[in-house]
Amino acid sequence: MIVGIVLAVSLATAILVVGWWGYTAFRRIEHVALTRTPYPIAGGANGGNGHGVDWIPAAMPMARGLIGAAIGFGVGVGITAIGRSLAGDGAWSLEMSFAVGYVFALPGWLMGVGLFERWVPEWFGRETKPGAEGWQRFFAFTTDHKVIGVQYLVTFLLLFLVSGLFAMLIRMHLLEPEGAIFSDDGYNRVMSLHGIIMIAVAVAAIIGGFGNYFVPLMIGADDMAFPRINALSFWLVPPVAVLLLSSQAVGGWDSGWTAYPPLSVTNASGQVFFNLAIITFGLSSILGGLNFLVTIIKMRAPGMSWGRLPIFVWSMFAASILALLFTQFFAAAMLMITLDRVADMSFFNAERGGAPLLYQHIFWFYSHPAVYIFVLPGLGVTLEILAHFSRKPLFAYRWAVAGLLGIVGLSAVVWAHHMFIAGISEDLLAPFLITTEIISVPTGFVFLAALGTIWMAKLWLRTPMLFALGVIFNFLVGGITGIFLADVPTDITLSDTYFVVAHFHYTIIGGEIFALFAAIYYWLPKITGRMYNETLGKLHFWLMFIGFNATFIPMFWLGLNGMNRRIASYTPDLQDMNVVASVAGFVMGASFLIFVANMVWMVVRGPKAETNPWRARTLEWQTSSPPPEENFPSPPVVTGDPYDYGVPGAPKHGVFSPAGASGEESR
Amino acid sequence: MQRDFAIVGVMWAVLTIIGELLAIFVDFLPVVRSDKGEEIEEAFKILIYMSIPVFTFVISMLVYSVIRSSSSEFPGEDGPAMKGRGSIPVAWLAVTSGLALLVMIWPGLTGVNSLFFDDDETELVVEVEGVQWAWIFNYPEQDVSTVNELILPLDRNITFEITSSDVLHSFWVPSFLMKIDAVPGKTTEITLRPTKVGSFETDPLMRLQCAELCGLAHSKMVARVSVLEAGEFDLWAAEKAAGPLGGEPTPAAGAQQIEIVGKDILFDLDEITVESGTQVEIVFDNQDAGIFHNWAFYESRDAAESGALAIAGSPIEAGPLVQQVVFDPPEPGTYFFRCDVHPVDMTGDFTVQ
Repeated sequence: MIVGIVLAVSLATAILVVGWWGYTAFRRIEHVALTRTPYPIAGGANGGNGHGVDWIPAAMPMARGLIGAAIGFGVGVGITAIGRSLAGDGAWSLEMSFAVGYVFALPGWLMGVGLFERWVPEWFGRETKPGAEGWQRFFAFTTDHKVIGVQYLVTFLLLFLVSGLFAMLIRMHLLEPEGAIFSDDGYNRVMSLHGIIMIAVAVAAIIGGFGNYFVPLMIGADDMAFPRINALSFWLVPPVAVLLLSSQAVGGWDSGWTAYPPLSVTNASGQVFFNLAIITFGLSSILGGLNFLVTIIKMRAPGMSWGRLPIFVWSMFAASILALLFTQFFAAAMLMITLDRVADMSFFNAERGGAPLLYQHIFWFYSHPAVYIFVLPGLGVTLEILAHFSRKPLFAYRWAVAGLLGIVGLSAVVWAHHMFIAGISEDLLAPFLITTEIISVPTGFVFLAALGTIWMAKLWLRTPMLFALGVIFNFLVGGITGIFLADVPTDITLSDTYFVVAHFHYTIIGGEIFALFAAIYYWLPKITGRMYNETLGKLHFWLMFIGFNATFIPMFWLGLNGMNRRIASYTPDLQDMNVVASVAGFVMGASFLIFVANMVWMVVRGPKAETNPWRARTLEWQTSSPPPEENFPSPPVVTGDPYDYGVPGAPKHGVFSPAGASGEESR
Repeated sequence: MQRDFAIVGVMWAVLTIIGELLAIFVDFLPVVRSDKGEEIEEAFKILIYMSIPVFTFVISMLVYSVIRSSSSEFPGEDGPAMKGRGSIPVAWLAVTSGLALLVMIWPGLTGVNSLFFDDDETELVVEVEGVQWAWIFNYPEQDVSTVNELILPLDRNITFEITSSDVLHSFWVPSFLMKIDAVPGKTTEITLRPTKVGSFETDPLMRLQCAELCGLAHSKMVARVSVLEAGEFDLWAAEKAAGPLGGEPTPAAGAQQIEIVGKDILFDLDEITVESGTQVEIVFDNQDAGIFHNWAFYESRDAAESGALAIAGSPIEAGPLVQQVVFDPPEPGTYFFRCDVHPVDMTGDFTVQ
């Protein structure tokens, strides 16, 4: 035992010494690099483009973060080693050492990446360093909500494409009944990885990307309420991606994104990486939700009453309530599984008094509201775009807001509809059937607003509008098939089949990812200052729309005909329809190549975007593209409704005090 | 605007009629083979009939709006300025609430009541245990156990008492349409009555498929299901009860002893050779703690996989423990042995010289 302690202490000391040496050496290199090439010139989002990209200073914050993480990890591993040696165990245990190491590595990463320079000194009454300038801001701990929005958007688009590749592999594998490319374990792991990364994309792409960029702009604020917490929320994300991908090195995990115990307590060690990733991501999500709520409540421009709030901001408000209140339950469930694994607790071990079903209650208490965290901002974007491109007021605006908030309220009392076949008390079936069916009523208000808005309108069919109209169709299919899963008698057989797979892809891809792309085509001209290619945009839409429907409609049939979810092999009678779904899936996958080409074209050759290419009334279109760091030329005052198109004598939505907005028409 | 409403109304009516006709003639669910399955199929059809008008209404509004006036060019003029503050949202609320209330009560609550609270008298109990990755069935009244082979009588109310010895599994026979999870430390129940004779060989939906992700071989955790005429079932049960899996081992002096170890879901031998004419004693050492194995001897791999009875074998039990199988070897030739729980990874050739 003494040998163990000595070893552990010397290991920890060695790591600290090497870490410190690495850090100081690094600072010297950094100093040389910085004195050799000056920071690019300060300016807007494109500042610094003029004289090339300088990677070394740009990589500094993240490299410092990695060193901080390494030091923290060493400390955690050392502490574990001491503790384990005192208890007479071996100094190293993969899961325990890694889990404790990570607890220390995470603050190390955050300190290195920016907290230590930009935040901590203030706690002790000292000056903080100024932030990075120009191009390098996108790689640094930066407080500008627009930079953070871009950081989120780019990160999650990359994750979306990576996870989309996993989806392509899954569809390739399922071309044959016995499975074409993976081993059973390989399939289970890729399916699990695809699931959780896409869930993360669904949680954060619109909220983190467009929410961060446009909520302050749309309410006339100069930033979020807590800019540094905002930066912190983003810099919690890279460890999540690293954990999920690197988990594959220790066997990955095969329990899906739902991680039901007891499987998740007994499977490969990758599960611990997954748990830590979710807890970290949850923290990011909670901080983000809090930040949006305070921003929307406290930072609105003069005159921006609740009744004049753009519907996208309302949807962000609704989703933020859910993120703030419910995310902790997912994190708690993950913590309990981690403790079952590394600390020998037995929350979910039936033989030792635990309850496997307990997990599902805690998990779904978050994860059902979570689907509204995905979908509500998507519906907000959709209604926003429908109004601007129909050139009509948003129909039944107040009812749409009531619908969003009604969904928030009801989402807390529907979770057990995921558990109708889990072995819960039969007396729980009826109450959860009732609450779940009721939630279709507020959801219906969103359809009322959408249909009322396009009714009798002269529709301007540009790419964002095509995607928004696509959302109506897709979410209709998702919503109606949801009724079949909410009604207990039909759910009994459909639960855990491809019918469910088709349904949730219709709500999440159909309701949110289509809205994400609507938002990309709608708002990227504002962010980049350049226009995308309209023909490529429309081609992307039609390929994606047709591919998507042709992929997932066959899955309803598969579910009804005996194909259950998450299987690496299936009976041969199901092959034909699986081939249809796969081929259509490849078409959908190909549409994203067109999207990427379009984005590259936009950045390289795209024509300069006007201030207001869509002639929209809302505030973000009244400032330059891209907006200046302080967002508006002078503080805006809100004087009218955001969607008063065609209303005779309607005042502008917003005006700018003395300096004025350079004569731009606001409609 | 009245003309527009009229056009949409006609579109809606036409699409609804087409949709409902399709719904009547399309078979959404394949052959249903249990009484509760028939109720579920009924509920499914009711929901389809109800959702078609809702679907076609939204599609008519959407498609007509796009056809009526849309252009890639900026439309130039705005409006009309309809804000939706009048009676339309109230009417919408009334209609959607009515629809939600309807599907909630019928087929929802009425279905819950008849599926879960109409107690039929149980005529046969089958205990089902899910293990990674096999199904073990025990018929306590018949004193019969099987693995991955569920034989049921026609037209009897069968109660399945379901549990799991490791992780979550789910009991789902697609052609019965009923499903419930197998939860460790807990017994869940399904009661149903098979209504048609059939088997996996002729209907791939006659299988008990694990429907809850349970790790490595989840997709292969499948049991063949057969529904027999009641008399045939009783015969089968009687024959099975007398079968070799129940016999007590009593090795004679001079028996050929073969030791075989099961560890990490593998046998240490994939070939066993014995002399004919002398009794064989297999000593099977299951070293996998908490994992179910057995040692079973078959005519051939094909025979084993098509569900033939084992010539000899030990009961399925969780390790660690040692089992004995004693039998007289058949005619010289090549035979087959396996663990019934792990028929993919734990197999071998058995040669009699």
